[in-house]
Amino acid sequence: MHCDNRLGRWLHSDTPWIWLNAGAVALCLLTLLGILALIGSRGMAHFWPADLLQAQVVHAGQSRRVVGEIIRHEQVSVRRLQQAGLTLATTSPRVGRTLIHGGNRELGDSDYFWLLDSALRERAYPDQLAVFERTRWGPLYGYLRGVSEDGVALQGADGDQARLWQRFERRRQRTAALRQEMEQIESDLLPRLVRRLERLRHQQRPPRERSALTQEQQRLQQRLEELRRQAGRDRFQVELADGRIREFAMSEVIRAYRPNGMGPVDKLKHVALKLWEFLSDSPRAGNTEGGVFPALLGTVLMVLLMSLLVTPFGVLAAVFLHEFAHQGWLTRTIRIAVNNLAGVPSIVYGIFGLGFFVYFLGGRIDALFFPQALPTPTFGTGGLLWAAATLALLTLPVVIVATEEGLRAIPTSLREGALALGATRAETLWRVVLPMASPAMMTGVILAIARAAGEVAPLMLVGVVTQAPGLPVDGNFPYLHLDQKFMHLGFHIYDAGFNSANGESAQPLVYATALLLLLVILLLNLAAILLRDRLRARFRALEPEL
Amino acid sequence: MQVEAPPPGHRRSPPLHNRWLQLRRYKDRLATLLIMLGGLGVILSLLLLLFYLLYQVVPLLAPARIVPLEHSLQPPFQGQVLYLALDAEGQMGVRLTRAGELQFFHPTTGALRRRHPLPLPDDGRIVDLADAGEGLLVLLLSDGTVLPVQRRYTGADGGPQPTIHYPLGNQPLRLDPSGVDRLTATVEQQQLLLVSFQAGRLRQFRFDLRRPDPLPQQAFNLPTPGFEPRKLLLMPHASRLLALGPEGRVGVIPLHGAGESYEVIRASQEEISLFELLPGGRSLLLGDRSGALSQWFFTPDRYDGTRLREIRQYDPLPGPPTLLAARSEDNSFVVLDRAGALALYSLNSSRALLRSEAPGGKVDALALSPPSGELLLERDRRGSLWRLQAPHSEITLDSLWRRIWYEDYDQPAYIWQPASAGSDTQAKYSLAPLVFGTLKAALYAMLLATPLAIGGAIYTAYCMAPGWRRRIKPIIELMAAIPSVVLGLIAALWLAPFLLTHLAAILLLIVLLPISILLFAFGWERMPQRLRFLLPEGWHVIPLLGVIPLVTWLAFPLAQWLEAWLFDGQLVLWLGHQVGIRYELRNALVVGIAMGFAIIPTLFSLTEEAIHAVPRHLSNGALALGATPWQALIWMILPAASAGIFSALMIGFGRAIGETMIVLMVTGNTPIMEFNLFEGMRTLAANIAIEMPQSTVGSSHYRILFLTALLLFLFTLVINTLAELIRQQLRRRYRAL
Repeated sequence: MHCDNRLGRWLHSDTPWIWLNAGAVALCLLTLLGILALIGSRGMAHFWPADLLQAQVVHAGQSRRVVGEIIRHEQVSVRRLQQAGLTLATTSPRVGRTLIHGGNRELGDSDYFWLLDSALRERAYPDQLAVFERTRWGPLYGYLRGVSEDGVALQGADGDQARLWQRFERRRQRTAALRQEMEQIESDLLPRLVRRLERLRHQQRPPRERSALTQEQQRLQQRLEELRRQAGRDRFQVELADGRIREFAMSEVIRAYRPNGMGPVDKLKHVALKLWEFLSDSPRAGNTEGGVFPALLGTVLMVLLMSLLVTPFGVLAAVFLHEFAHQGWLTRTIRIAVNNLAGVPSIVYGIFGLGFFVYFLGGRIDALFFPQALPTPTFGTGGLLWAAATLALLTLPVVIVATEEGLRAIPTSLREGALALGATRAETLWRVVLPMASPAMMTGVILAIARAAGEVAPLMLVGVVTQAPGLPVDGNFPYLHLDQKFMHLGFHIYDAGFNSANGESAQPLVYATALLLLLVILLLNLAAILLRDRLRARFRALEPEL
Repeated sequence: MQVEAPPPGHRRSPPLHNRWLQLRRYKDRLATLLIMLGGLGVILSLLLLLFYLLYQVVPLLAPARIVPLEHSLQPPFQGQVLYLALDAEGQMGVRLTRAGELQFFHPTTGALRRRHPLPLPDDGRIVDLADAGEGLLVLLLSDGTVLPVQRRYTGADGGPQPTIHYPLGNQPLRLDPSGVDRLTATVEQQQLLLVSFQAGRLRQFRFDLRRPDPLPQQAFNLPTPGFEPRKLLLMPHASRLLALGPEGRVGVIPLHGAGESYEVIRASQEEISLFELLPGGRSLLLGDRSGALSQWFFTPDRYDGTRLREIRQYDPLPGPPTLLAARSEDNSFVVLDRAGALALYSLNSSRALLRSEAPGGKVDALALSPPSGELLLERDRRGSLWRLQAPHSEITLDSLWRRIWYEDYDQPAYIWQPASAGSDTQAKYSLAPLVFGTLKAALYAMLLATPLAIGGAIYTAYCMAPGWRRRIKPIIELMAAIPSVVLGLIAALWLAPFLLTHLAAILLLIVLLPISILLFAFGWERMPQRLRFLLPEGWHVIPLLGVIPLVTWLAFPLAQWLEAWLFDGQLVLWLGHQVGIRYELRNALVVGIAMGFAIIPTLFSLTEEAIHAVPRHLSNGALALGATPWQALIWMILPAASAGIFSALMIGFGRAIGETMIVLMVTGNTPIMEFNLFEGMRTLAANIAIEMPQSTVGSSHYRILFLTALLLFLFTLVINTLAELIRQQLRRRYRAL
């Protein structure tokens, strides 16, 4: 075809194609960056003390005050709003609106609400506006107006916000200490006592032994009552967005701060504090607040257990395939099959784990070793051990392939040298081949760990739950509870993002959890890459000598 | 490297040395044995995966069997049988004779437990009966009177104890002075509904069972059919009455609802020999004298009414079918013909699951205990007990893939709807919507991923500066490390709402991006040389990293303007109103994008390797002969790498098929068969994740889920193995070059 204009001629040359392909690379890179940036920013937003907005909302001639955190801002088409039943006096096709988190969920106002930008007037960020993070109902936004003890308002701090705040903080710390003791009794001491009592009852010991424990239990319960009473002593008054003053129990407050008045240093300190809470605390409010410690621990523990299972078996199989099996068509077929098992969908491993490990093996174990507990299953239900075993099976091909690659990279001359010096085959393997292949094994194991840490689908069938009754490791014999259901970061993301009743309020935490999971996996992958490089360097150093 | 030293403090005397050598030899053998056993064990345990899946699936396809439990119950029955039943979960046999004796017996031994003569008038006999359900039989006596009898069981240590109860008193009722000729009855909500035919008239009666009052609460005449009914049947909720007439005619008489009128259907050319309702009462089973057997139910017709129509024909029996026994648990039923030949059917499948010539000829009565599947046959006053073994009778390889016409549906359909606890709708297992959903999701993902990954791979392997290649490749491969649950999270919480508001912008970008890249490139080539030399060969990506975000940024206002101009302000609403395309928040487009990005790394990495592995001298030769680089790529390198690229595509497709979390989070998980880009789907993998925790171990549902897992397993295994073989072939060919 003859084209006489320049563009046409150019389009028939090489360059457009090369540019288009370059565009594909650029798009992939940008998407990756975008995903990471999105998770990073949204995840970190969970920790950052965002400024609190105070504004007047004008609606139908009436004006009311709103207070809250700006979640996001967007442009929507007027038609969509009109369809939703809004009447708008505007000519532009789109208007801006802001999603505000107004908090105070129990007080009837909707927690999150959209406001049109045109309705928001007199925007301000007052220094005294405070956030009270509570054990339930989500955050409370408002002005601190007073502190009272046993129903008597404390005098002398009127008008002096700084002193009032100091007083509030002192009392909050006191209740926090009380709460900590309460938590210890409730979640650690009491359950342990109950478990011991249960065991004694099973063993049919004389009641005398039990009575001491029962007395201890009563004492703890009394102490708990006492603590609860003490913690209920202090209350505080807050002026809400609409001007009402309400009283709240000090014991519900976990943390209080005034973000608008915080300097960058204070904000960073706050971020550190929240980060620590996120990593070390249990979830609150149906997994929408608090920390992810049980999920982090569950993930790490499960992955550790999995690597304990997968490493020896994977290495054994690889050594067998590469060093011992006759290298015929059968071995080649097995090798291809093993390689391809890595591509089998993980949910298939999950269903196998449920059917074989949980129902079949677990059922047998229960019938043999835990008949007294039946029909409540001990191992016959999903748990840490079965999850680890399922994932071990899932990652077995990865370890086998990586180890075999390492074995293949070892020059045959080395093996022959060892054999020529009189070593037996086992000795050659143990002292020459395996040490040299160890970095490859490590790479395999770390790749396996990285894959396992991100896998969620099979775990949903074999033991992951949204709210585990306890940690899989605790101070009670046998310390590591292999039969216990556990929490997992990936499942936490799935659950909190999709099944929690209050979707919007769970979002920051979900992104933060995703960020954490991503960081864990990226670190593991990075380690694998570094190890692989070290392995290669080692062989490069070895080659000239041979 | 040192070999284990001999024991210290000893000189190496020959015997000791020998022993030491022997020890080493033993150790060697032991190690070899251990590794052999361990290695084989691990490989076998991976094989176990396949075998375990098969082991769970195989019972699904096991043929139905009928096993004799007792060939001849002793002692023989007495009296002429009219009615036979297995009650109390198959622990109690019940037999009613024409002479009016109710006999209770042990079904496995035949031992008589109790005999109960019914209060018939002198020399009265039972001519007919209607089973009203809940153990209530309405007997029609030879003098034209009617007697309802109910049997109940009380659990005791010695097994269930029968009690006889006369809900309307133990005096036979004279419903009509002329005496009843035919009747049917049903119990619903403590009410006994009775329809009788006598003297050319149909009459309907309603009795309240809570008050044993021999007088009916209600009695009125019904429209009369133009024939003398041979049998009457009441549909559930007392909606319609079906009357069997001569010469294959069936009359349909509406009981309430004035709009519907009485009609007669010619259901068969032959005389009808079997006329029964199946459990649930929604389907009518007809058998005619030729042995044909068919299912009928009411479906909406063109005029807003309903019509009784033939849904399917079952494999015919050798003779006219006469007896029916059905199980509602798995929708199976047994039919016997006049000569005693037996056939087992599943409601939704035409094929007989089992046929057997019952030895010994004509069967007089038949009873089935639904829970245990035990079948009691009586012929010549001898009972024989059998067990039907068809645990998954509703599933055949055929039924999983075919359109099936279910009760209450207007037409045959592919439906996946596993039975939920506490619901009486039958479970519907069609794998078609799931497989369709899986392929749909994978297809859209491939549509996005293929151009991006292959284009990117071509550029990276062929055009990119080598230093860059080393850096870019691991970065794109890093994408593979992002767990799918995180991709799913972003897609569901961020992308899906974003697409809802900015659909136009995204669709616009698909067109705009390539055009703007080309325009930028054209402009760049026209720049003064000094500027162009700033960008070395193989660095094209760098300016594009700026161009793409800029175009994206510009696309949004442009799309807004376009939407306002062409689409009434918002594309999604416009699609719904003007085009009629449903837009779901979580749809195939979102899945395509999210899963596309999940498979790009795999696809990219394998394709890049395939292209890079093509020996350079091939393209060099082409270049030397005067081809441009692009011509060399298209005509030399890509054909050489095509097998490798194909295998990469297959592996990517395999990944997309098995991906669970993204689909689970991003689609609505509704098992529908719509190709619409803006609607969701349910895939095989997501279906397992959703339904497996709730399914009962060993049930059909459980095994079908295993079957879907097996399908996924085999599919990916075959695809991956093929891809691997292609790659090995390719490697061998390059070695030859």
